[in-house]
Amino acid sequence: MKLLLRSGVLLLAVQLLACTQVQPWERGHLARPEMGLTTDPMASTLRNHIHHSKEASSSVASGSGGGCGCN
Amino acid sequence: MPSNNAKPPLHRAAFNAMGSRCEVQLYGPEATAKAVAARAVERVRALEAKYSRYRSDSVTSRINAAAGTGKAVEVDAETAALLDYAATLFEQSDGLFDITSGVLRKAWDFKAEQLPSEEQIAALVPLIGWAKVEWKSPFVRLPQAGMELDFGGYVKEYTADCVADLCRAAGIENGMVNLGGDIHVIGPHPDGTPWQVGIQHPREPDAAIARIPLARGAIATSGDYERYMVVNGTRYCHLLHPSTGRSLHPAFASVSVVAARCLIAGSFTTIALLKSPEDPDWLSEQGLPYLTTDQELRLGGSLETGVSEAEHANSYSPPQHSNGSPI
Amino acid sequence: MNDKRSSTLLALTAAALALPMASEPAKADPPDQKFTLGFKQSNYKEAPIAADQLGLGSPERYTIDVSHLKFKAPVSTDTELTTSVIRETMSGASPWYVAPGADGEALQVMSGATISEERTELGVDFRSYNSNSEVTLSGGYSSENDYESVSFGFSGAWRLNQNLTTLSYGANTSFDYIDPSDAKSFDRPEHETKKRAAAMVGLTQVATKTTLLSATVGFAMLDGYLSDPYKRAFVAGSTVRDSRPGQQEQINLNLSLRQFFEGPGGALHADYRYYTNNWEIDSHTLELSWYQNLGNDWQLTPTLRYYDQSAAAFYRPFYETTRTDGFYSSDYRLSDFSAVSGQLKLSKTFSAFRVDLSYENYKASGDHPGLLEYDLISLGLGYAFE
Repeated sequence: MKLLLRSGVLLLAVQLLACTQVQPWERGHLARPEMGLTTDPMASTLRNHIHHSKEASSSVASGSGGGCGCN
Repeated sequence: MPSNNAKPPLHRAAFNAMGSRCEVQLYGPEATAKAVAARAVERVRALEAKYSRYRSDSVTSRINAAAGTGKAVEVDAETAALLDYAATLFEQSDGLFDITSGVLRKAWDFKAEQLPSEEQIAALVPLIGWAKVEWKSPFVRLPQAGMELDFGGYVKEYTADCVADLCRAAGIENGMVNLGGDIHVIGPHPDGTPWQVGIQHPREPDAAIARIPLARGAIATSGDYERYMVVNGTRYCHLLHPSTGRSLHPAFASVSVVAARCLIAGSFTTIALLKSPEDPDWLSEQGLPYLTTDQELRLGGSLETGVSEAEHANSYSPPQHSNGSPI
Repeated sequence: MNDKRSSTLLALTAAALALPMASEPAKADPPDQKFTLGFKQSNYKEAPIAADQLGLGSPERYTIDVSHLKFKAPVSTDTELTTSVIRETMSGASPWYVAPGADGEALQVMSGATISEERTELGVDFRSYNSNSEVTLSGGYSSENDYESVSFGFSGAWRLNQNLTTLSYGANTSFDYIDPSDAKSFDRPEHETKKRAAAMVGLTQVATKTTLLSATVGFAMLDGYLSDPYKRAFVAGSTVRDSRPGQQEQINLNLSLRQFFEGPGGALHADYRYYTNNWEIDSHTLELSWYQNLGNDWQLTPTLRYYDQSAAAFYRPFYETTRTDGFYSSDYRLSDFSAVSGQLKLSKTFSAFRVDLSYENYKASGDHPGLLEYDLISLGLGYAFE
């Protein structure tokens, strides 16, 4: 598991090394809706809620969502 | 466009603006391309109206009208950025690219084919000098009456960029904007092939001296043929030295530069021509792909011209479309 | 002089950057002065327990219908308010305890009676934005007949490096009040509370014209009643209440990639999450999606998700002997299992409307007899107006 984590961080670092300075006029693709971190907030809310209820893990980033008596 | 779509139709809008033949070519569904092209034309006309020296209600005219009155003119964010850009041009060209030198047109009348007198030049030179302009965002003041600002040296290239951005933001991915030879490619033809950009032959108005394949980015061209006169066998062109008021004799008849933005490309072509009498190698050290045509019509530079030596030796290609339009 | 020449390109580019650009800056998402309305209707249905895994009770599991309505309105030129209402209707039997079968295998005993419940959740977000940063304040409230929860949070971001780099942060806290139904009849606690506090930081970076990378780290602490009042554990011949520690600390790390491919005209999403807590549960989640643009504003998105978790230290399907620490739970959610899910989503965008339909199938596998499989169908509608 530690190995997996280290590989993940290494991958990220390698990707960061490949970073280029993208000029504002080159950002057309990045501005597309399907390139967002969250493309469908309502769907993310639903799926995160289901996963949180049916699995042991949760994400802090799933916001201030309150709890529920999910069975 | 995704390759599983049939090739989208090409919409072409040709019009006159900023003193040149202009053209916008866009690929896309007919209704969309037509609508976006209309907005593009509208944007060109709007920028022309905003910065034209000839319209009394333009920003340029407002600034020039206040010259010598002691009053500063407040400008908007776009004009402020253009003025800052002018300051950078002045600095990077060692003072040769000076937007206050437009007053020299009163001495240099290229249509009259007559050289200006010493008195005419002497009267105008004191009105020139970017260093004299009081520019502190957002206020600009021309201290002496008769001083003028002229954005004409780079506003056309800026407009080409604005229009390309507008088309991209509207979803156009394949197309090209051409404002009198200042070209910004939005994207290649839908099959991925580049646009074949013809470069105006500096001595044959209806011919191209080279063809540059461009899939994206921008290309601008400047030359000694845009406004000129020949007096006693010597060519005098519109490139004037801001300090002396005299016509520069550039080492090149034409210079083209490729850059990400048409504004940048055009800045380099103009500065290259202005510096060419003293420093003809300046452009080769700048790191951008470029093409030069010297006074003997020999091609130089780092661009793939798409014209073989043999073809070029016949001095001009078969007649093409007017100034810089693709084939 | 040479230095000055090579820097001409830099100087002019820097000055050109100050000029207004028609194209949108990447990842800066200012309030757009539009009203938006979103609605999503979903049906979630768990597959029945297989006969050979069922000890006693109804094999039918949960069915949930969810209706979610969200409304965003601009308040001023740089603030917006979002309100959200979720209504869930749930029915079905749920896992009660696990008992050893004749051959010592684990069998799931289900609650006999069908539990039918409704849950309502309200949420409010107030977002304030300026050119370099933004802050959002959030509040939420959830209520059902046996559970109530209140939460508050804030999150924000700083944009640096011409909007190429974003630093984000957030913190939230919630208070839950648990009042299990039929507490006396079924030996359940009558009134319990639970608190949660969490914080996160994240970094998002535009790497190339077509690549976005993101990493976030989060930490959370839970305190109070963390057990499931409706579950029991089989301990040496009789059942006891589900009893978990009264405290939990968790850390999660998320890595995300968004990569656009010009050729096919599609975007790849890859998300990896590592989670660990002090009950010895570790999990890995990998989710991959491909957003394929089909032309005419249709988009098809297949998604694959792989999940794997380890068991809680005190978890057993059933217990032969009592534990000195007194912790017992046979909840499948604390067991060692992995799950695979596949989703397909189709969407169509019109000028002011958006419609999408998705279907997902999820299947968990492991030793616990109560691991589930579910189908989820969702219909979404979006509408924007000035």
